[in-house]
Amino acid sequence: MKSIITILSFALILTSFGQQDDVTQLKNEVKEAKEELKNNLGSQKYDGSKTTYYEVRNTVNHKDLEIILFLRDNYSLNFSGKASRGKVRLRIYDKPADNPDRIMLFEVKNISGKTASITSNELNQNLEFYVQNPQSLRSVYVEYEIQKGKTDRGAIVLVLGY
Amino acid sequence: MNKSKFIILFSLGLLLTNCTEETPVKEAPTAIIEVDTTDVFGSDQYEFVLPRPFALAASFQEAGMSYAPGRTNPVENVSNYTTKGAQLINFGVYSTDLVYNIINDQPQQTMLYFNTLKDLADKFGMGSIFTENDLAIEIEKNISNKDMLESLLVDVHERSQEFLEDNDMRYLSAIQFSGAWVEGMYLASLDFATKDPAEVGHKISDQMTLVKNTIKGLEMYPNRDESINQVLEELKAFEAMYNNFESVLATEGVGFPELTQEEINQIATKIGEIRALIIA
Repeated sequence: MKSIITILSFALILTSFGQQDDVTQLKNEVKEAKEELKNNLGSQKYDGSKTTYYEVRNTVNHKDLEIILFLRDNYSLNFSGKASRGKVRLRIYDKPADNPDRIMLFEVKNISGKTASITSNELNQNLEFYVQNPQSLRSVYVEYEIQKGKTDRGAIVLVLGY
Repeated sequence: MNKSKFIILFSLGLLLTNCTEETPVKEAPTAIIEVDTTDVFGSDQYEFVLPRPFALAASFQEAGMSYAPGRTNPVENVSNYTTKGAQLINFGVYSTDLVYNIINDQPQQTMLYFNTLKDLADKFGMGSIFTENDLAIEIEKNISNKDMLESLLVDVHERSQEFLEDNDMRYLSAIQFSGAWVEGMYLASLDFATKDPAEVGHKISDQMTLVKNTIKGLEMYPNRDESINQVLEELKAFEAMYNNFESVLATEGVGFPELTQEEINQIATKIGEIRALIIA
């Protein structure tokens, strides 16, 4: 019995250190992804970032993110899936998830390993396609749909520019 | 304590117990070791991007915020903030005051408020964000250069957010933000009376989105002390007051309300009360 407990304890310790290594690696990848997006801003000014961490599970799961747009005239929303794992669908809506009338304004089928950008002006134009004379968007709602897969941990980085 | 540390300590505990055990165990204990597979370093299911102080100040400037000396929270008050909650929320207040001085070309006040922020950061263990890469020295060197300061303050904001995330304290950024927002709204409210009510009404309506998110952020933080709870309750009362204004009800959730001067005055008074509660 003693041996079993000892082996189990070592296994737990090793698993725990392994988890910490994974987290450190992920955080480093996030840092690199953020730097790349910031460098790609060019003449735009950097206005903040948000990293969304997630787990790939054996079921589909979602993470939602609200971005306030009214503070600047035209924001650029820059996403990086360079620290992402599994398949992650990215969608931007005009209303929150609990509103059945929300309209999808932008979609990336799988952001993992890629980058994608869109401006708030473009999102407003996309909204005009569906709604006549809409008010300009004050917020948008990003949905990350993490597809089921082998258990893993990942992150998507958003950098705002203006 | 985070889960990884708990697992390590738990495992070491098991090992030590095992090593020092002298009496043989006759029956194997039924041990249930539950491994939580939720994110060790994870994000909540719903989050929002908290604007940084410069973006916030820019929006308040658009709302008509003008400069007058003596409007900001006096730096002497910093010694009153002895609880972590009061320190964090006033870190937000002083962040807005700092930006207020920068955008209004007040280098001496800027220096004063920057040093106050540094002192406050030291109090809750975040002073390292200013010492890394001589950030504080760079800021002091560029105290009269608005553009450079804006860029350097982006670093301050980033580092403070990273510090809070790295130390399992990301919920605390909502507390900082609530202080920053209330101070910005307070400074803007001092000029409401001199502006076109229609324009002010639109700006206030925009800002109410941030109140909603600030309330959500504060509610997510489980270890609120009494002072933060009071602020939370006051913000909820403020939101309820706004939502029950006749002009707001008349919109039925669509478009901007045409706030009356009386309603704008009520907003200014309430914000003044919440701000007084925070900086006391």
